[in-house]
Amino acid sequence: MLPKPETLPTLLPLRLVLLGAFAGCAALASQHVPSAEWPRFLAGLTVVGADGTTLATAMGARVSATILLVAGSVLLAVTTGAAVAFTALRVGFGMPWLAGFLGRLLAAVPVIAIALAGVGWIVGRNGLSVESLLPYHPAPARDYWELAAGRSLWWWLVPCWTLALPLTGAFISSTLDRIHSARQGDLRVGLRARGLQRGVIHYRHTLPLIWPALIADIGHLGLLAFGYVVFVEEALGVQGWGAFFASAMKAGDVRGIAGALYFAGWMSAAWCLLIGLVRLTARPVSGLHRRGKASALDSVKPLLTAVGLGGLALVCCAFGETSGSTGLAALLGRQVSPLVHDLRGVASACAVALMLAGVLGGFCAIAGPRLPRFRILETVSWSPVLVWTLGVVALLRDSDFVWVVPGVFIALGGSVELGGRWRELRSGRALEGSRAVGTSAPRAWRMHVLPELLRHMLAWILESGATLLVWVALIDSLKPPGTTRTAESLGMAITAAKETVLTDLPPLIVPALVVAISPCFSISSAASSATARPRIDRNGTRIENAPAPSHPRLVH
Amino acid sequence: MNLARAFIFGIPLAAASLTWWSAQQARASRTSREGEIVAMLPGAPPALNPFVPATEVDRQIVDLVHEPLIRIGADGKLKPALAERWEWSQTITCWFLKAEQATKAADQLKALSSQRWIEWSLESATADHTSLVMRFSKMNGAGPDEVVREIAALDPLPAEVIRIDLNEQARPYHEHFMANAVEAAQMKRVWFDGATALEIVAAGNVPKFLEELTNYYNAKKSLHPRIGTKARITALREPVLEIILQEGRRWHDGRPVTNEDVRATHAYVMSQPWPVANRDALREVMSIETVGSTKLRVLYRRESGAALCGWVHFPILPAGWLKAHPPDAEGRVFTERPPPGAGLFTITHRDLSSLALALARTDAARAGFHVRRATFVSGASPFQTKLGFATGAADMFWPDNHEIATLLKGRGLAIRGMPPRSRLLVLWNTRSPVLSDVRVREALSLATDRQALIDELLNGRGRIEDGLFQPGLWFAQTFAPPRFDATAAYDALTKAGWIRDVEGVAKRPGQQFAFELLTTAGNPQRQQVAEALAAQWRELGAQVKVTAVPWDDLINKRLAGRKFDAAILGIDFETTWDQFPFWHSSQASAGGLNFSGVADRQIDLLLERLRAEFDTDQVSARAKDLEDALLAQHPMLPLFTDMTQVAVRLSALQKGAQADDARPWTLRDLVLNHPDNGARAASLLMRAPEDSAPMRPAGDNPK
Repeated sequence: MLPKPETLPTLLPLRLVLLGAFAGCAALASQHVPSAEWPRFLAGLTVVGADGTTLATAMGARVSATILLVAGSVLLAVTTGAAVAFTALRVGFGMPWLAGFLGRLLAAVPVIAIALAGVGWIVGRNGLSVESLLPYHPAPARDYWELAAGRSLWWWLVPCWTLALPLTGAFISSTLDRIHSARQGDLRVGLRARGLQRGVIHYRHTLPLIWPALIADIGHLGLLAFGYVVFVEEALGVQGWGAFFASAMKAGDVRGIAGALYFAGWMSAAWCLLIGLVRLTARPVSGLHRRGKASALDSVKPLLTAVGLGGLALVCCAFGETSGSTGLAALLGRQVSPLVHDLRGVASACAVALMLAGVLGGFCAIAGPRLPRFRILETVSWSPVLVWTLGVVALLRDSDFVWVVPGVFIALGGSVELGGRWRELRSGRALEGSRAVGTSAPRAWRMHVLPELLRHMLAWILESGATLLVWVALIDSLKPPGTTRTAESLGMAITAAKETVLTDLPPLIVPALVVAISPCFSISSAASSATARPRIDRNGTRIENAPAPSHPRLVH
Repeated sequence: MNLARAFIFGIPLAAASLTWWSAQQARASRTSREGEIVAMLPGAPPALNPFVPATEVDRQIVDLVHEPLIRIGADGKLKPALAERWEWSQTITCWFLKAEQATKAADQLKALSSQRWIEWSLESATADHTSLVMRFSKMNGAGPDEVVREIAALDPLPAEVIRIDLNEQARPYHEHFMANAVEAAQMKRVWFDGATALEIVAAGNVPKFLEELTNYYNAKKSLHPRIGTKARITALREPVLEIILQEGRRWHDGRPVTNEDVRATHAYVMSQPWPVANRDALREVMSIETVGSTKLRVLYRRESGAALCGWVHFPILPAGWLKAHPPDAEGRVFTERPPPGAGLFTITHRDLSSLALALARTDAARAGFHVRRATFVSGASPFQTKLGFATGAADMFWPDNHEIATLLKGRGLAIRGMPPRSRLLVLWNTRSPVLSDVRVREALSLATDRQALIDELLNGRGRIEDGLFQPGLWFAQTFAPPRFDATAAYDALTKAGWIRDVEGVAKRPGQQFAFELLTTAGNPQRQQVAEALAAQWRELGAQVKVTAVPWDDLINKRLAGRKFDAAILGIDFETTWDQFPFWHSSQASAGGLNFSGVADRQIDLLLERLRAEFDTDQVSARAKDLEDALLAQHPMLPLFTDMTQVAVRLSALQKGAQADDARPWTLRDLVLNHPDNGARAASLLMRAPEDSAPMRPAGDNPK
């Protein structure tokens, strides 16, 4: 889950509809479709099927199916994630850390691999069918209501669970972090001192405390799910919006892509409206909307930093035939070349993202207050960014600069994050104090803003790199197979493994787990940001109210 | 607290329990699939347009759901479907100045001895106002001429056939003219030739009628009317096809099938520009009269026995449905609101990805069906297909070219080839200076290795069929596999005066053996075929220039203008024996379809005789005569026919089915029970085995 600004732009659903409409029209304009066509397009009258089907007709049932699928999956993910998190906390003994790590790992496995592995397991191992892939309608005489209901449920539950799995992983780690930060205050100690049981503390005190923040996380999960659902519907044959989008992308059908982007705006608006209704149930809790300063990961910081550095070493290896590459070859065999390919792409996209986010963030921080605030960047970062990325990548698929696209989209959200942090540090007490004792402005800036800002940027880019690695794999999984026998990227390796998934799962699982290397980046980001947070005053006392990072430390 | 805990733990637990239970139910649903097949379709869902099926699979599904009047059986002969029997007869109509003259003529004929009526095959002679209508039971014989001679003394009025071509829709103008014309009574018949042309038969004061007609249309300059007299006749001869429908046949919704349905279906189809098979034969229909609820009298404008073929595999739909669902040019109405059929199977389920057919209710209790339910999953990816086979959930799929070789090695799988629907051929221009000699065309034919083309370009998915007609029909000859003989080819070329020089180029004094081969631009497969042919003929000594031309230019400029040497064409097979338009010398000039320019008096006579043949038992002999004479001229080089291959699970086929059966195979072969020896030949009539009408032995077909 990508870092999101913690404040919502006003009228977000309306903004998302307009953003979807803008994305759709931009897609049409990029292919020189005359602007006279746009009103028809926005009214859903554009023909998108070979048989003359209009956009509105094609999307009618599909959008409902996708929204149901996303809503069901998020519900499953949230409840399952919360159940696992609370159980882990109840057990204790390092279980929260383990659960958090496994959650991050699960969230980093490309959803297409989860879907295919699910098919392999259900069909290949258990001999069951996947109803959405192979619907079956028995003769009415042989069909009873139990069978019909069972088939119908099975039709929905397989894609629901598939989509829910990575979201569950993300929600477990998110919930654990939230609870951990909430428990750091004096409240828990007081409650324990009063002899309350852990369960009572968790459910009656901690959960209401973190509920507003969890609602924000649920909103994020839904927006992420709109990107993931494309791959789930494609892999499992669900005739929803995602399958339509995937087939339009594969066929390079501009009208189809534009239509899918437009309806993505409507769907995310509906989702935000729903989350807005849920938010009405939450009491605002001051200060707890933010993620806590330290986390369960603090205790294993050295290890995490080492793992993160390992990830960085992999990036370094990606840029040359070094001895590191040879070692990797021995470790990962056929996956080295695709991994190196993906890491190169991710590193390049990260560089672009960092540059763009730095420039935009700086501009927002410096010139932003003097300009009218339309909060466009905030709106983009509170939208299904993966969907826009997929759309643009599909439109630019023949371009040599297609790798820039994910970086650019990540940078848009990152600029808000960095700009906000920049402003926060500039108006922080440390800088004010330093200036009050007569330190020169550049020196005060260098001492109190720059180190914090750099650490924050490092944390953000590592987090973004983790996301990008998964996104690149997902994007590549939609590419047609190459002419060579070896896959060019991990995403293509996952797609190629589809052929043997019924009998042989390792060719699918290995590249998927290699993609899941991204938690290294993510954990490193947590470690680096955690390193930045504890502040010590001149007397050696820990400053508890040091500025907290504003981004949720989830995998994507 | 308890509520939150119940919510957090209850939902995943409930979902997990439901998942387990639903998985068991899904498994239980599939435990017994006896009598059921599941087919994986590669492309879009079947459009189910009964008149213009998009694919071969679509056509076969339509054939299971909808029923024509007449169909082709497994033995290639005509078999009754909705029609119980059919019969040709003819009517001769004469017009008189006064009604009394017509009555007198009728009486005069009735006064003749019954022996003469039998000799003439005259069935009735009826006066109808000023006209005398005589019905003859036979299409041939001298009866009509004798009868007209008999009444000649009563001065029947001469009639004229007037043709009008317009630039706009002809029907509204004609109706307006008829409503206001003073001489409207002179018009006896009208036939609309498409939307913008009509032919009128007028008798009586024809000059005055023609003058009024001409004045009317000439006043409308924008129509650019072209009016002309086509023929002057004494009596109008009209073939009549009488069709008796089977009693008790019903649509899937339970309503009876009536002759009104046939008439409505014909009108519905002819109102649209759909490229229906045998559309020309259907266009020749002058009118359809209904008698009672099961009898039809179809009047034709022209004498052609092949007009019967218009009703072969022409699906009939309910008149009520047709009335309620106006047609659209794309035929979307059939996809959105599928009409009830009268075929063996009915549609029980349809959505974006699947179509389920079940044996029609009236047939369900009857034996004779190997398959009682068929599900077609559309848009199936190769992955889904593989999945279907792995789980035993799919029985049939249409593999890609490159998959066939692998599949043939697979166990438990049979590959079947569907009947050919079209073929690729090289059409020679017999008036081309280089190709005018039949020996040259024969040499090129001998030098063509067609099997190599099929193997290399089609992965073996093609058949070689040398005849003129659609393979498998009772009048289509079976030819021995054509030989590829480079030596014989060179000998034939040498006899024609072409000698190869040291560079291998065939020459004769002052001339090189060089010609142009046209192909369709934008069709890579044909381009490859053209290049491969050019390479093969280069071995013979020919210098072939391959030129790709857009389809419209190829047909309308190069072929229509006869500006070509050779052209690769794809032709759809049609169930007809009428080859007149393609090879008759009258069609060799501009505007006709005889592009190759064959002009042979003997072939013309054979074509005319075959067209006018109404006795289906005699068609075979006449077709053979034509085929022998025409193919000896080598006006074309048939390359190969298409072959849609389908992979079927062996266990889904009937007992005794072989994995390698090269005979053309259809879905009907799958659903109907065969004799234990696996035969699908003449003994199997392609009708539902339970049909109440008595089966006719092979060879005793109604004409």
